[in-house]
Amino acid sequence: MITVAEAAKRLGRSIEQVRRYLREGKLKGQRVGNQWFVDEEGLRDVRKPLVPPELLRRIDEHREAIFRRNGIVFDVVALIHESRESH
Amino acid sequence: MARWCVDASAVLASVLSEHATAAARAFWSDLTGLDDVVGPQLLLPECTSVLRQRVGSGELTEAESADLLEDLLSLPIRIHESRDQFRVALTLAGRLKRPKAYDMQYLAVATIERAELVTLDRGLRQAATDIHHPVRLLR
Repeated sequence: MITVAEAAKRLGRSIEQVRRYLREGKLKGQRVGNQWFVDEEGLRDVRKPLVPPELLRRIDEHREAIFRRNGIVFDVVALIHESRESH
Repeated sequence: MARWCVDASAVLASVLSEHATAAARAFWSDLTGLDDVVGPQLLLPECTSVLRQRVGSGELTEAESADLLEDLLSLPIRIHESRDQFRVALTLAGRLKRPKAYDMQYLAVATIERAELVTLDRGLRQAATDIHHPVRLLR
């Protein structure tokens, strides 16, 4: 177990944010009296990427294959606006 | 802030080639277990509709649109459920004098969830700025 201040330093977040993660259950910890302590193992887990790298690779492959076929660089904001206009 | 509200442009730019694709990809790849990504109920219908229209225009095949839909459905986005998103969107549309309320759905959920809005849309960025809500423009 480490202090909230140490966890904040390791995560590059503020002490307030770390306290919020503990309250929200995103970080595992234990309250002793008035002070929170953060579980070190849980700290390692939350530093893992939220989006699995294999998913990002699959998305890249699909996107790049489509670009090789059609050569189009889309303007997604314009496409969204066009879609809304047609409703 | 580690809570993000993404709009359809931030999602579509990651699956379709776009000038902001690198920025969108970097956004998704930088997220960790401490981040929470949320979107309004409008998000997935809008993305689906854009993909379908690109099939209609001949720019995507049916199979490609199906792959891209699966890709974006695999992104870890929590869909905000409360009906307040519609009430807040309507209020914001009135306050910001918008004739329609589509983009206000995103701003509504961002405010309800206290999430930073993530978008490629400069108009939406301006709307967020007008109500002093944090926003990240991907470009």
